[in-house]
Amino acid sequence: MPSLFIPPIESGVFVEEIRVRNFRCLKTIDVKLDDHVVLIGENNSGKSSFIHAIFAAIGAGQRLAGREDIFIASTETEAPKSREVLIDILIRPIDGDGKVIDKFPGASPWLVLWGNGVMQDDDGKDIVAIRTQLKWNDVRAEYVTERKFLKDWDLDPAKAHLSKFADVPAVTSAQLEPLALYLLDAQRDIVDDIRSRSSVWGRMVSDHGLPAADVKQLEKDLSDINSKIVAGSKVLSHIEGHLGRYHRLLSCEPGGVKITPLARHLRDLGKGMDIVLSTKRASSFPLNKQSFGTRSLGTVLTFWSHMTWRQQQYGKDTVHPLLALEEPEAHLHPQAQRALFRQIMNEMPGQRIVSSHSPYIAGMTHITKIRHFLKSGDETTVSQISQGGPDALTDDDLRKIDRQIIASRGEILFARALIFFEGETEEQALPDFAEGYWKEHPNDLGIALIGVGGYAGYSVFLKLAKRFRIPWFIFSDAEPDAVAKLDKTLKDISEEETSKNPQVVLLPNGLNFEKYLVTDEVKDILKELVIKTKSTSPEHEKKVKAEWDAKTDLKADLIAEFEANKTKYGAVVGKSLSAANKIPGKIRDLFDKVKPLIETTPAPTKTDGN
Amino acid sequence: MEIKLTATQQQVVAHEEGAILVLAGPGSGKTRVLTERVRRLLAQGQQFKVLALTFTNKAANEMVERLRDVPNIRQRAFVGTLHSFCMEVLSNRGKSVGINSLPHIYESFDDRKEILFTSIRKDHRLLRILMEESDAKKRDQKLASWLRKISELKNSLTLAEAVENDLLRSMYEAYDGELRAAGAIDYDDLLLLTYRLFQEKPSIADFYRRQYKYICVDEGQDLNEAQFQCLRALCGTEYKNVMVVGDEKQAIYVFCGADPKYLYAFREVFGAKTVELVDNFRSSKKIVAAAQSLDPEYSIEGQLPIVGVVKIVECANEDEEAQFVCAQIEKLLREGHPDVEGPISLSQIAILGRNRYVFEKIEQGIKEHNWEYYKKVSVDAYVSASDLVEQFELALRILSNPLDRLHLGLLIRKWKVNSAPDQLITTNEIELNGMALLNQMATISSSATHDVVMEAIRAVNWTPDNFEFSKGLNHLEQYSTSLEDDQRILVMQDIAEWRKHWEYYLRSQPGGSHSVTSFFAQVALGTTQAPNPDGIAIMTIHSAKGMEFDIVFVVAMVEGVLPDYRAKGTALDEEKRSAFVAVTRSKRLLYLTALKSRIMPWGDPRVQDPSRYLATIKAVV
Repeated sequence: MPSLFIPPIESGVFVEEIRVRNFRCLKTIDVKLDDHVVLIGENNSGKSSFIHAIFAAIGAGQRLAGREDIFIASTETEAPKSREVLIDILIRPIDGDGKVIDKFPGASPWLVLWGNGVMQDDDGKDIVAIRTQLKWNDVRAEYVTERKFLKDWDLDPAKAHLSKFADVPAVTSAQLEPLALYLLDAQRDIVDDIRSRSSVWGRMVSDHGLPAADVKQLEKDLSDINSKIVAGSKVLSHIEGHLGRYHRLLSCEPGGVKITPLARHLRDLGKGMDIVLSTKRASSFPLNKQSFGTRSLGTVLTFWSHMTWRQQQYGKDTVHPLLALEEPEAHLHPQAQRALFRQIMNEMPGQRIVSSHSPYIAGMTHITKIRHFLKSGDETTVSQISQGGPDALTDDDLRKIDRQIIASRGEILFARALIFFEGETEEQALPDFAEGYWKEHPNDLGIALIGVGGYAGYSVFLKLAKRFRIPWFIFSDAEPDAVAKLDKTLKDISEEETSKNPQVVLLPNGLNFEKYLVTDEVKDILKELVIKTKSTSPEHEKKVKAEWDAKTDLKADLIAEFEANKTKYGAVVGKSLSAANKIPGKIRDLFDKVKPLIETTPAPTKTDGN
Repeated sequence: MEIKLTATQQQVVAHEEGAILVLAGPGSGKTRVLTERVRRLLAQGQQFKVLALTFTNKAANEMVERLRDVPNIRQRAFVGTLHSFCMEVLSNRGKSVGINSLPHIYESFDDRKEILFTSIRKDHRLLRILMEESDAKKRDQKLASWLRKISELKNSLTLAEAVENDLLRSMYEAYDGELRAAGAIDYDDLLLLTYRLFQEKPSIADFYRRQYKYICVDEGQDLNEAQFQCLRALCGTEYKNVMVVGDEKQAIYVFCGADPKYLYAFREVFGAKTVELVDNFRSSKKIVAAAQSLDPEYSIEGQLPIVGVVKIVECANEDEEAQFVCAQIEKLLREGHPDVEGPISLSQIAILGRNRYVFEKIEQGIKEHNWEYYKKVSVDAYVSASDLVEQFELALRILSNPLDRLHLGLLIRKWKVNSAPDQLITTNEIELNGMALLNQMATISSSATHDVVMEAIRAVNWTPDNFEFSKGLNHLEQYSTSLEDDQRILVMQDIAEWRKHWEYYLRSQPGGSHSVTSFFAQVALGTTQAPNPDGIAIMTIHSAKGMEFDIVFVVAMVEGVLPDYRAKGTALDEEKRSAFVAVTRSKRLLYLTALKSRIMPWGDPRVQDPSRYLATIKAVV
């Protein structure tokens, strides 16, 4: 179950919404943030571009954007000069409980920081809107980035581009720094961070904060240890002796050549730092001998310590931790994924934007925190389920979605197409038919085959699929009772009724699945299958075969057999008919409908979680 | 030389919350007390800002300079005139009062008169009344008086629809309509619209109250109705952390609507406690005595132990006056003076006069001596002296605001283009594209200079957000080498002056966009005037407000000049205060000159009586 406990954001500000225009593969997207959100969607659906867009706007460190960041449509070879990138960020004040409030209080450090960059919307509420614009400059003949406060924030995202820059000085780095986005990408590695001066680690340890007197003493100690090492090492003494030739070759002091095995200055010690980890009952290993999972985790924990350090040093209302974390699941086993994500959700300060392919993580995320990225053609759309609004899901729907779908079937959020059906045989057999049809497992193709568990189950799945705009299909029995129930469900979500709906494949002539499978064409194959399945030994097989060869109404008996043992036959019937190249027509029809969705874009690559 | 603060000064600096009125005579350390209080407040904590409103931009720039060592001073404090503050308010938050972007400001009286005239030509009734005047000069005077009426209404915060007099209302409405059609506002609108905005959108005033925990207002005696009400609207009913500093004795702007009564209105409305700074650590004993002779109520406690000089000199005419002034300066430069520490430099000297017309001979004399000097005889923005630079300036304005029919009309005349502004704008269907409009004009222009101006315009690489002013000036400078010496001098003077404005503008707007609109707005607001140029200061008394010099010459102290011949009744009191202000600009040495005869504008000499104030002063020195 997803946890509903939300640690309040204590910084006094909240990044409410981000609008991106023409950045990399994102033509137009608008994303509302929350204390944490989880970005899901296939590979190449734009999650990473979105995170990099925020980074280009307000990232901690070098925020560079250039020509290659401008959206190019598939029909274009290059972007027209008139196209500009906009990344708009809306910030609002919040109170101590993390609730959005109308006004920055008088003593808010953010008010001093942003000053007249703080604007009032039409309701007189304080907003801070920062636009990062990348635009071709004719005079300089290059793309130029400007970062300025906006005068207003149009509630209609379609009018976002009409908002104008305020007549106040451009946004300075100092004005961004306290809420700068830290981006921990999928390649993060604490071993690299420790070596880099510009990483969070590097910046934190560069100022150790020891008093000058201590530094002097410690550096003297270091020098003594260096001398001891060299004196004690024959080979080092030997080298040092030979390096003494320097003074004859160059103008340096005799005896002025020294080898220092350890850093001489305290500030340089940071470069050689290491973290030693020992697991239970094992000897300790340095980080570079640790798994990638451990090293990746180290970066996350370092960011965390950085933020809490700053909060302690300068006060919780002076820094707004904002983290973008790509694939927290990277290199971690499911148990560790869950544990890490639970901590990120429940304990990490500030706002967190997590992108993930892990159904375990999706399964732990409250449905309202999910941002679903979907790409069709050139356009990426982002959808979310929110409480409230005209076509809102009911609380009951949300509970069901959370319990029935997200928690147990997180993978459907990553699917490229969803096929819903009801019935045990279908559940067992359809994956095999699909594999027979595509010669690949449907999971690998991004197709999720979902038994909804009774007709009542359709509703919630369909609502979810519709909201996230994941293409869906229904494969249904044609028994009058079943069709009537399905019609009602479709009507409730404003979809065409069963018989007219192109997304519904209905078995013919009022048949159910078992009856439909058993045809004259395949009855002998199925008979063989029954005999094989029922037989316990070669002798027994002869007996069973004799029994079934004697059947006078073979089809009726087969149907009866299948209906009585749905799970047993469901698991084998698909393989067997596919192997014989006899996939039934209606199932083929269904897959023919799905096929174009699979073939337009490359298949998702497998990630750890799948 | 830092003198310790007196107990009263200390009291003001240490003042915490609540309203306070500081009555501060000349030389009482007013500026220092103001700055020190701001410094102390800012040092108390990090999470608030201070709004410091000065009367002039020069005073604002000086204050920022003094506070330079306060970390993040530009972020922590807004120091500027009330008008620049209003500009900030309106340009970003003025939507509800019809200001959607940085407004173009029409500041010069002539420009505004032109706007009024254009609007009146569209109204038959008003036009008929104007034409009742017999000649052009009288019509011009009538226009000017109408314009002053409108300005008065705006300064009393009267909206057009609230004007009862039918004629006046139509005039006001027509004028405002014409201004808005050009995408512009005038100086008075800055206050009026801000006042309206604060009234109609209390959340915006509230925003500034939250942002600025303390407000300081300098030169409170020069507040007028609009300014005072704007301040009140900004503060609302609860906010009391306001300090107003002023001196009734130095009120010399009553003639344009200011009134020292607002000092006391402030005290009443805000429940301000009052502190009087009664020392004068600026002026020598003789100067204090001279000031006291002009205003017997001027009493001081602390005083400098320096005697100083007050000398009255009667000259036969302007030539003799100029000779005296120059000879005296020469002597002081050569020998120094026991009451002035160290050698004397030109920037310690000021020459003051009641109006701008009394300096001609003296200026000549100073030029002959090759002394560096600067002249500040009006509070208006800089006006280009050369035709070439003026054309460039006009073209820039049109580039950024093609709706600007006023300046378009001026450039049409200068370029000898045979079309009216409206013909150019509409008949050619140029969709508000300034560059296209200028190109169009250039092709049909028969002037000699449009080509070079257009080249300069192209050199500035104009975009709505940015332009490179200095590249345009460079181009004009290059061209000016081909001009006759006389013309070239004027062009070079203009270029040098504009460069100073540009440089100061860039420094005061770091990182912001440098649009033509914002540049000219800042020039109009006066924020681009560099503080303290070098050399002798030649100034009108009104321009010298808030300044101090070791050595001051007050020239042409004759009846008719000081007091001004037009002053009657209470206006005479203000003339006396002007004399008071002039005298108290001096720290050590004061020379007052009278003339027995003066050349009138029409060329004849006329016998003059010494100023009545000289007799008063003579009695004590």
